Amino acid sequence: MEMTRQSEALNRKILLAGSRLWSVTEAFFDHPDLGRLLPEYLFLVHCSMRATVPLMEAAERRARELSEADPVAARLVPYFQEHCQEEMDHDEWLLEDLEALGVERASVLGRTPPAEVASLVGAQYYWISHAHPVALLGWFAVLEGNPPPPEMVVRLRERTGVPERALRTLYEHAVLDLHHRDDLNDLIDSLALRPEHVELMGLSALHVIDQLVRILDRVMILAGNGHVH
Amino acid sequence: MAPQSQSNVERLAQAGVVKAEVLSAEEIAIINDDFSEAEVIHLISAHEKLGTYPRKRKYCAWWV
Repeated sequence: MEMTRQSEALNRKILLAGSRLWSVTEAFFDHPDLGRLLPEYLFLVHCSMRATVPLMEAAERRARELSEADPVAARLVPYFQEHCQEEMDHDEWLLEDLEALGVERASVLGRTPPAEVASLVGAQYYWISHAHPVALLGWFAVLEGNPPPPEMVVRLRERTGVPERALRTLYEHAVLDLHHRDDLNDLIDSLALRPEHVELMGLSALHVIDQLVRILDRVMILAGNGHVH
Repeated sequence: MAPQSQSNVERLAQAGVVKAEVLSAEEIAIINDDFSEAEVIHLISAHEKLGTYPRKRKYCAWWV
């Protein structure tokens, strides 16, 4: 019998458990006031994206500590090192995108990030420190495994009429994340994962899905109550 | 924890997380074979409604 690849098993779980996320995402992008919601959405993406590199640095440090006795951790070190370089300064792109929408960077950086994002990111720090840095692969499997396709970014611009430069980060990731997804799947398939690693990656991915649903729900709920301007 | 005599799908159905009758055979196999104990518990505690939303082959997370 043919063995299921480890990445395939993870992605199948994400596909099934993510059905609510895909549904909420669709509702968000079909929202009649999408243009008004966009700056708030990009602010929340920034809250998370500013943590991507620091998260990987934390995961790399922990993986390095474990690496002598842990072959999975040892394989994660170069992956996180390289991926840190690839993701470097993308939060800066997003600040520029927001500036193109008239949102000043000082107001983005000075605003308190909401609890939903803290939970999204904070859980990863916990698992990296107290369980295993392999948890972060579950995060990337959801985020980089399902990037917005370029044609949807074009549709977003047409629907909202925002300047193209306001969507640079989404455009770039529509292309970049396809390569990152392939690299991630190759890495996952190359690891000698134990059942606890597989479980941790899965749990991490499920938590990311839950929190993204809450974040998108939050934007729509606040917009409905007149709290997004 | 005591060994589970029920399948994952049965446990999730009992908790109201899935409706087994709307799941495809492939989805039932994924839930029963791929989801670990901690993941099943997570789905029950989050009360995530698996398989009750339209399933798509193409989707995206819109988060980068």
